[in-house]
Parts: sequence; structure tokens; C-alpha cells
Amino acid sequence: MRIELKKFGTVLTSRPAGKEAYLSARAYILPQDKNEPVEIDFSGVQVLSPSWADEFLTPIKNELGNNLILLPSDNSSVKASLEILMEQHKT
Amino acid sequence: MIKNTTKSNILTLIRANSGIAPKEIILKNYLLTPAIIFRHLKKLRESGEIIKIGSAPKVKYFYKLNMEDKTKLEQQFFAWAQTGDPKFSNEDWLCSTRDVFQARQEKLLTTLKPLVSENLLYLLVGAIGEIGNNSFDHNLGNWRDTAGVLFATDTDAREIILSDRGQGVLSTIKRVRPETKDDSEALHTAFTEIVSGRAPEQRGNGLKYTKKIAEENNLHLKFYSGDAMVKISEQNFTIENSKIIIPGTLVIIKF
Repeated sequence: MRIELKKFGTVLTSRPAGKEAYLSARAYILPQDKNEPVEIDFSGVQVLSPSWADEFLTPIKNELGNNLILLPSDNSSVKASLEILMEQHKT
Repeated sequence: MIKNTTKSNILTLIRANSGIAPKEIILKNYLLTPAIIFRHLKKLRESGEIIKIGSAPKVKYFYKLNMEDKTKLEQQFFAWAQTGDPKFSNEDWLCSTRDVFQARQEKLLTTLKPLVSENLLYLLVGAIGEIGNNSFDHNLGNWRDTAGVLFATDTDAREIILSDRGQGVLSTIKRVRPETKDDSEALHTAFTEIVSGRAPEQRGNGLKYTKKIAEENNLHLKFYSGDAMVKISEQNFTIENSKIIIPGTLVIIKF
């Protein structure tokens, strides 16, 4: 399945908002079957911060592992936030 | 006379599009030969009005910003950050809650659109979001007096300022690193390590992200907390002692 992040807003920056989005996705959007791949679509998002991304993506990554697929994006803030997040997960 | 106008036009172009590639300058000045343009670029660099970052083919020219003289807006913010006196604040600047801050941050997309490239716009607004939200994350229910973030943009001076009357970076970092000895060390930790004052929560990327954005896009940043200040200018990251003591935080970004 595919999750369009723009449905949560186009300026995604605060931690509480990211956490709220995750909880909503967990309850209503994410598949019950953890083997089903989930694609994250960043198109239409203008600003993504590492804090929002951390609150939303990290728990999904912990649950789904390699079944979480981040679709490519040209947006500068999406790219920079994902880079920082990947660095964090390396440590 | 013509030469001066050309030089001034090139400078205006670089000021409006800081981080512009020479190819774009040539395209926008198609009546001039590349040789003339490069001659003016060299002169502008020699006179310290612009700086060049990168090597061919990835060279970019940036407008050199003056970080030393305080604007009127900065003076008001410093006075508020030091005293908390409401006479230095106003309701257009004060974001008492995160929702108000978020709305004004989104408005920044429209305000800055004519002034910076699309790429920089999204990065800049993201960094502002990290800084402002940090104030709420670490000081909610624990402000010194006024709750929230003071946040303003001066498009003429091309600067954004944020400040809070919270507990400051040292107090936050000491909760997870009790051995931290002073404000300078706390700022160094906050800007260079993934460590959160809200452990065991996994946090602490915001200021690293801000540093990366500033360094990669020639933004000029000053981040005051306690008696120390982080300065990022022309890709150099330094921490200095500050003559001005800021109990919470005060941040100036020039773009």
C-alpha cells in the first residue's frame, strides 16, 4: 500500500504533529499484516523536518523493517531530513 | 559609469539569488560577454561584497552579509531575550502556542518565496521549524516568564529572528550530560551530537540539521544561549563567548 504524506499536511515540522500522524496512521491506515510492503510518497510535501519524520517514520521502520519503502523525492527538505535520520539510525 | 551599473546589476542579482551559479548570471546578462561578467565577479570578490564557494563546475556566488551591526529588530529581540519585558515584544511576533508558531512558519513560505530559491525556501522553513519547535519541546510548562517563541522576519535586512524565555541549552543538556561544564560545551553538544534533553526519547537532530542547512547554503547563523554563541558564517562553525547573556535562546539567521 502507499501512504501519501501530503494528506497529513504540506508543512510537516513538529514532533507532536509527527507523533499524532503516526498514531492516526497506525489506527486507520497501516496494514494489519506486517509483511505487506508500505510505500511512503512524499510528493506534494513542501517542508519536512527531521523531527516530524523521526516521529512518523521511525516507529513504522521498527515495525516493518525492509517492508517500509521510501519513494524518491526531489524536495530539498525531504532529502536533507532523510539523510539526517539515516545518520541517526546508523549510530 | 556603464561599468559601475553592470557591477551593481550583478551584485543586485547575486543578492536576490544568493547561491547563484555563474551560468545563471551569464544567462540573465545575455548582453554581456562571459569574460566581462567574470571580470566583475572577480572585482566583487576582491572588494569583499560577494564570496565564491565550490570549485568548477559547481561554483556558486553568495552575497556577503554583514553580521556585526545590529538591526532595530535585533535590538528589540535582544532586549526582550534578556529582560522578558513585554514592552520589547508585540503580538505579531509572540507565538504563545505551537499552533500559532506553526501558522506563522507556514506563512513564511509566502513571505520568502520572492527572495530565495525554491530549494533554499523549503530548507530554511524546515530549519526555522526545528528551532522554534525546540523551544516548545524543551520548555513547555517551564518558561521563565512569557510562554512561547518570539519570531519575526525582516525581508529588507534578509533576516529571521527567534527567541524564547526558556531554561537555555545548558540546563537542557545537563539533564542527560550532567558533566557538561558550561554554555559553550552545551552548545557544542547540541549542534554536533545526537543527544536529547528529553532522553530516553530518541530526539536531538534539530540543531544538527540547522547546522547542515546553514553550512551548505551559506546562511549566516548566530545562536545565543547563556554566555556563549554559535556562529556559522561562510561555512565556518565556531563557538564564542558572548558579551550578552541570554537566559533562554536567541537565534538570528541571515539569508
